Amino acid sequence: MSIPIPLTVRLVTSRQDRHITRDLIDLSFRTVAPGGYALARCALHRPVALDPDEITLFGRVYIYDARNGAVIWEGRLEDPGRSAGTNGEVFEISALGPSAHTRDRTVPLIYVDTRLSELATSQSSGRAYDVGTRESLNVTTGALGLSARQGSVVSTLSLAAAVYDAVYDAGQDLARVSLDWDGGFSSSNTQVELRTTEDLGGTTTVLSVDVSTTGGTLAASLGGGTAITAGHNRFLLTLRRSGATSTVADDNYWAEFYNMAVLGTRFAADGTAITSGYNSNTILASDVVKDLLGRLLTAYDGANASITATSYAIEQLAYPDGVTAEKVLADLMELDQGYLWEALESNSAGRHRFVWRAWPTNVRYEADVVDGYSSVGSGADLYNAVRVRYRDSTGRIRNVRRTQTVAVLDATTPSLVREAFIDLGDEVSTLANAERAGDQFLAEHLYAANAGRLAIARPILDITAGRMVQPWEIRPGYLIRVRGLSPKAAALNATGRDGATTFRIAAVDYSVSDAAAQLELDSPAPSVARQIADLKARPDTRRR
Amino acid sequence: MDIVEFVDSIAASPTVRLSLTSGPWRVLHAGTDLSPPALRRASASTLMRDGAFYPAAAYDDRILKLRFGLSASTADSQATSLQQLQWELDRPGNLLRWQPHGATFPVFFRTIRSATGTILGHPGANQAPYREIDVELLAEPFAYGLKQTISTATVSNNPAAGSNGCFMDITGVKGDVETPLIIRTSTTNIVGSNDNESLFAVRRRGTPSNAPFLLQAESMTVSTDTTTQANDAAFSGAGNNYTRTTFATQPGLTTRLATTHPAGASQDYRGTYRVFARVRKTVSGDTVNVQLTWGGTLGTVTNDLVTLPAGTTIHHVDLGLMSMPPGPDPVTDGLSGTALSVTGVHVRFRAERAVGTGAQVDLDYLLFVPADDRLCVVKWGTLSGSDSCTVDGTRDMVYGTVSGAVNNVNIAQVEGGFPMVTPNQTNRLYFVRQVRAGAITDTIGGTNDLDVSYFPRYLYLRPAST
Repeated sequence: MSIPIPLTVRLVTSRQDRHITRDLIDLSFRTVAPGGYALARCALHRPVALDPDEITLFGRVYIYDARNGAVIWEGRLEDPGRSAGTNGEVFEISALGPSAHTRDRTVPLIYVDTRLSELATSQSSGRAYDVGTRESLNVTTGALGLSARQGSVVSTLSLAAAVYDAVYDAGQDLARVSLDWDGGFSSSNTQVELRTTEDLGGTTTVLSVDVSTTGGTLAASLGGGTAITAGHNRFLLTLRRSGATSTVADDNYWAEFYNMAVLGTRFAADGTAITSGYNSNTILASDVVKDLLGRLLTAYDGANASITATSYAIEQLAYPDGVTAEKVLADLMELDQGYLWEALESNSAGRHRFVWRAWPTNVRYEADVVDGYSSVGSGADLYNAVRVRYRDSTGRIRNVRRTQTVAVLDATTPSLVREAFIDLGDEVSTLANAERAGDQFLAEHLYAANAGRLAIARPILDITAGRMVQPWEIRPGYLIRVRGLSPKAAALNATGRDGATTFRIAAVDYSVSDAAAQLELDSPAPSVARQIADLKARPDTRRR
Repeated sequence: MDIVEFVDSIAASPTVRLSLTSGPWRVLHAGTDLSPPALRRASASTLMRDGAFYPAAAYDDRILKLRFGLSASTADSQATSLQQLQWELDRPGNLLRWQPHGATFPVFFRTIRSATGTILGHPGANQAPYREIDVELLAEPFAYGLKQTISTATVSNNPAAGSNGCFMDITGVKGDVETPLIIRTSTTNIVGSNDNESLFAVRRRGTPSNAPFLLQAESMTVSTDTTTQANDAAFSGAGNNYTRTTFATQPGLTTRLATTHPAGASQDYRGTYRVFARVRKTVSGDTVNVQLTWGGTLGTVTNDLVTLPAGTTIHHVDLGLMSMPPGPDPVTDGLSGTALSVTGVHVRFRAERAVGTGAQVDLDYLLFVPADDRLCVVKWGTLSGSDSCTVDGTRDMVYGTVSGAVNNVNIAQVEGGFPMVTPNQTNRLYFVRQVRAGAITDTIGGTNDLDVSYFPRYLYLRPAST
């Protein structure tokens, strides 16, 4: 193609709507997976003494394909910097894509919480009683115990009580509470109870059963058969003396609670509150995505978002210290590494299309290395073992080791063991989730990540679209098969990246100055800027 | 003698601000160079292949090198003449008309503020020395010819109309290179209270009339719950002129109509198209989704699912892009330069009634609008009070006018690329009046008069007729 690049650029503010293609000095834009439209930069001459109507903070930027009207990139002006010098008066425009909206708000969120350590002694708990976590006879993850010591006097209507406030503190309501319990004695004069309350008001007894050495399960949910009252956001677990005052005769006056699962209320993707259907003690990543859309990501078109259902049951996902939607999505992808999210072009209401989807297993693009290729993938990316540190429900630090077979490592003499370490910190509090995170990590490190760049300056085949596409039309989040590298027949049947000829496209940078796209393969290419960004992105708060 | 003068407009009789070939001024042959602009190219090359690949090219601004001779009787009059020249050079933008001796038509250069270069004085008989002035005048890449206006074309809203069905042909385009169009039309039937959106596109190669533009629903093979219907004047075509899908046995997503379109093979089938379906659903509140799949009979490309908007009016919906041929296209037979023909593509129209029990969907036709050249969608805004609206490709903007004066009540919005035309080629301009549902009523019998004009662009001289 030896004609001008058929891209047009439009700026829209409340005061002006203008195509500025002719005025541009340069243009570049970046799209990433996960994330979608990420960053665009352009420069144009405007008097610095004036405030052009088309340049203002959070004004919209559109980049179109002039041939077919398709949106190639879209975002909002973030930094209309201006300068005056030997190049004249220039506005250096930097625009962020809609993916930036995932960082707009930091809020506490409780999706599913198994942390018994969050249960505290209630002010209604009598002085004769003890409340605290302890080793359990039933599970290795510990339990919360309510007890009275031998010789204590347990008065009529006195109780041992533990209160849970995390959902209340997060500004949510209770959606589901489920615990297993066991008793040290059996009596009709003492009950094990689940009570709920709204804020600091009076409690509602949801469930009350006689204490028994058989034990049982306390479970209630919003809109369920055993219903939690709508609006209630705190709950108490009690061991309540309903019978006459008595002196505890032995050390069996106890009840313990374990396998706790507390779910906070969620929103549907269109913003409507979900008031029923909390039937499970776990949550799916796709349901969390819907909640983020309905609760926080109002800049996206949640009602029409494309959300692929996930299947992995997440046992622990809580952010009492506050979190951005970006961090939640990152954690979801850590637990379900086969998925990604994108925020793309806006609709007529100004809301952006949002997609949560699985990484495809079919190759989309076919390309060659003739325009330039570099790879910095190394054996340092290969691991056949990983140790995952996490906190369990009682707050104790645990770790679990996961392994996989990596042929290249096993083929050495002696065979090599490369073991990584994942510090989930307070981020995962169940064994299953820690094992999952470890297995996902190992799957991503079965083959050396390319971490390289492929330059595309000419049309390439887009199998999904069924046509040849120009470099600026290439989208990340798909697989590309590259000719000119070590060929093998299996590459024609690739269902994922293979570290040899089939790669994931992690990012696409297009610049009109050289009319070429730079594809980052498998993972973002290393750079000083990226290292600095990663350091800045490390969260101060941890997922619980 | 050549005519070189600064003027105020590109017109047949513009006001001359300063003539550089009369009075004390002469343009000297030696030292004057109005050569065409250079072509900038992006190139991609590695040692993995011979030669380079050029992904893009664009003309650079040109430098008009002019050498003037200035003879004046007095020093003061000479200073006055030089000042007049400085005034013209100092304008942020100016127009320099150049008509070579004997040429029928001039060309106009759009110049940019420049400075004088060397000024040499030669003592002579007059009180003021004869001076030679060198100017390097920065200008836009192309020289412009006089505005050309195409005869008003009445474009029908019916793609099956006998002439100008959703298009107009523009032939005999003057100039050396492509040039943007200026399209003016009445606001009647364009602008309403609901922000109507119209589409403009061009096909500028081969024989545009052979491009696969229209596919009537009744010419497709019907399948599940779908039958052709008796003539309805609201739809295009004669005889049975639309199909209806009742969802009686299968409300789920499945193929309703299919065919290979177009028949046969032709070089002019080649291209990328944006496909629109003209549809109507019979129950507003039901949710009906439609989808286009295309490709070979075995391998297909599935476009996105499109939800029909609420309402029961007839409207176009965008089914996305498709390509002929699907997949890789060599275009020519090896390196011979001989273009290969392209066969038609198997297309399927799929539909489902996702919510509700009553809605049926009627399909009038599928439109294949070329989407590999220039295409834009204009959201007109209300433009209340305007009698005309103009799509100005020279300014990349759309504006309303009343009695010729600019009158924007709302700001029109444009996405895509403004249409252009190419000389020495039949250009077909496509116009689909309504591409967004819920806007003004899209009547099949409606028409719009399009007044199309352009400024020819030249690299150097303008011939008498082209």
